[in-house]
Amino acid sequence: MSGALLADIVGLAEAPSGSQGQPFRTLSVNHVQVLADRYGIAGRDVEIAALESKILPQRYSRNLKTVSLGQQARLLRSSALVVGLGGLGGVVVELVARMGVGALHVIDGDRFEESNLNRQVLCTGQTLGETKVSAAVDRIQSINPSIAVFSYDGFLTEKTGPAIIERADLVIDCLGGVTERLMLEKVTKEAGRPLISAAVAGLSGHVMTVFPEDRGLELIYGDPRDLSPAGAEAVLGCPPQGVTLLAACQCSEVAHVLLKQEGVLRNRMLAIDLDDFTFEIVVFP
Amino acid sequence: MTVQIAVKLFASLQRFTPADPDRFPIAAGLTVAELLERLAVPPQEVKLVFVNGVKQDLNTPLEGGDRVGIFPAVGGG
Repeated sequence: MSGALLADIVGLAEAPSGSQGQPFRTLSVNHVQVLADRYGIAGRDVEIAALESKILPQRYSRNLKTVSLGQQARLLRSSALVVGLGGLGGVVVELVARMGVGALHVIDGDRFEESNLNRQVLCTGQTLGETKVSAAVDRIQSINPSIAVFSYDGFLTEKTGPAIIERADLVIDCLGGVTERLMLEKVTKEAGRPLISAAVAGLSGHVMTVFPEDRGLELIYGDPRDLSPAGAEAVLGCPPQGVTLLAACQCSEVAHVLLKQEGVLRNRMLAIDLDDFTFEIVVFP
Repeated sequence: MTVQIAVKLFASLQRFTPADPDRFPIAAGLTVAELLERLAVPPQEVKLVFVNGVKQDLNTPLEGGDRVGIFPAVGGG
């Protein structure tokens, strides 16, 4: 099949447009779907085969040159678990689907309510009352049907977490609440996966990457026994611009970890405040 | 000797920001804990203090030109 698939890809590939100075032949979204149907495989498998023959799926053409053809194939072979589908998670899902991370696992036990409308991009007049996972699955499939989606309608716990986390290459912490994050960090470490964590209150927030052997979030939050379940967000709320920016930062770190096996924000914290446009990297001696 | 530091308070601690926070006068050698007291920041609300981009503890003495960042617990998503 692979020889026949490759011949079909080459046959359907189009000449380089030249408008972006890209020397590569391209494969349209439509032709990816035709070949996926013809061979009974996922769109991402067609896309990986094309990329390995230096043929660029048009869907990813503007990801170049931030990612090379080989790196795009690697993203398509990768998987990520998005925990929480609110302000952070909605944007994260949107971006990793467009980046072409090949398999997305999404988990949340909530349904959309009106107070979500200010910032949660998956929450619209049409999805009010719907489960967050069903809205996420619909959005991912409408953006990028080439990638695989697995959804879990419920909250991740210490009991249910390990089996889900093991299915993904990395975990993206998009939860609300401080104590929930520490639980997620614990089970993610135990499962041996990297965690990309962000948290926000008002226009301030931070991002950190935690590998299993790292000290991680205790560097930010200190002794867990001194913590209240909710942080400053209980007072300040969550306007859309802060949470959206932090989600975008998480997705940049997803690319770093998946493509270079190393996070730029590992044992470091990106501190952001959009009130005065503070961006600062904090290190921990 | 009086020197100037820059003070940046994040999230719910922003309400303790002094006038002209980029040129906040202190006596050289003032510690982080003494700075928090002068700003009337409740110590139990402070989770992370960094000076010139490096995490420091409450006993750290401050010098002219230092940039001090102060974070409460932030957990929203």
